[in-house]
Amino acid sequence: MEPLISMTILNPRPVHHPGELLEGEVQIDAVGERVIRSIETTVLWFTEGKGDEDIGVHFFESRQQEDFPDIDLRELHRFSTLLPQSPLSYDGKIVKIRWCVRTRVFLRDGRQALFEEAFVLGDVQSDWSGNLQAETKKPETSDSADATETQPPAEAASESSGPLLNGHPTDGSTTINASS
Amino acid sequence: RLLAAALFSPLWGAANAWMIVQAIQNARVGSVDWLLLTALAPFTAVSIWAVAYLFRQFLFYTAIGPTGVEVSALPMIPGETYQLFVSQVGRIQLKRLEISLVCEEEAQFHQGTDIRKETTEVFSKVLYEGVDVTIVPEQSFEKQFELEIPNGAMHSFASPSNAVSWRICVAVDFPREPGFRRKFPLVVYPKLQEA
Repeated sequence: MEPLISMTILNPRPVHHPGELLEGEVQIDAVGERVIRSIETTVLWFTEGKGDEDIGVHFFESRQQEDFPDIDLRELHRFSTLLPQSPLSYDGKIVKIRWCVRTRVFLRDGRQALFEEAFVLGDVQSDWSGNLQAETKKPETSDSADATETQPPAEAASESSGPLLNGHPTDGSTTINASS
Repeated sequence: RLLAAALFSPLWGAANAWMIVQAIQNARVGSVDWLLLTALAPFTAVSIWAVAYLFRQFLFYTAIGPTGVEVSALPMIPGETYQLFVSQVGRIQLKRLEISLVCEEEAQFHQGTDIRKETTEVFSKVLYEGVDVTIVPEQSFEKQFELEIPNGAMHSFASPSNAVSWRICVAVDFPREPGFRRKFPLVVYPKLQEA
């Protein structure tokens, strides 16, 4: 018989925000007491769309029966983690980013069972690109090059190649001077 | 085009030079190769054209200087406004110059044994468009703008096979030559939210 995984996010809401505490509970039913070898609970993001799937694990917890011989792993177990600043859930044209809580149960006979609960992290507007494309701005045309007396911001630095963001942004202003 | 001209011109010139040498040697021994002499004129004409074309391409590409892009702060945050400064140096006449803020999604995937990459533009905002722009060494093109990252926009993201990238794109068209696009990456962070 397949194990029945009950997983609940305790503070469900349409959108979870970075920095919030995500709490959940996991309970396993329909299997015997010592049938479970281990249970893994993961909070992760993964990509969907045209590209190959990428995965990023934010929270991982593994409970092995041998580590807790006196505890019934089937019993209700609570987990919690602080949600990161990024990457936010995103529904793009060819790239999508999804967040979920995943529980995987490994049985002593080699079988596995999996359960996922999706949630939304962040408030990226679903139509931000479509709406703003309609506001494409063509502010001015020029017949000749203007020698403007501007004071370009100082500081030279290197080009950035779009880093993987998984933390807090740095403070202070930074200027780049990227020339081709 | 410059590379192609740089390869073609000396090769054709060498072949043409060999033909001339052969014709001269034939003339010295009193032998006349009419086929060689017939082919010599058009070969020489093409050789002269190739050298002139190479010289023109060299002048064209050296007339375009570097494009400079400066921003008032990095990383950027959606909903915030920044200052952007763009400069273009050189000695050239531009048919059109366009500066825009773009956001692109990039996805890399396997198709059989090939690895393919697809890029799609999901946001574009023209910040400046100029026509018939003349750039001279004494007066380079310089413009300063306000740049706003749309509120609620997606931040920069990169993983092994997927990316969301923000860029400043400078697109240039010339009267008689193909234009180019130069892209300068920006970094956009999500709004920092406290727990």
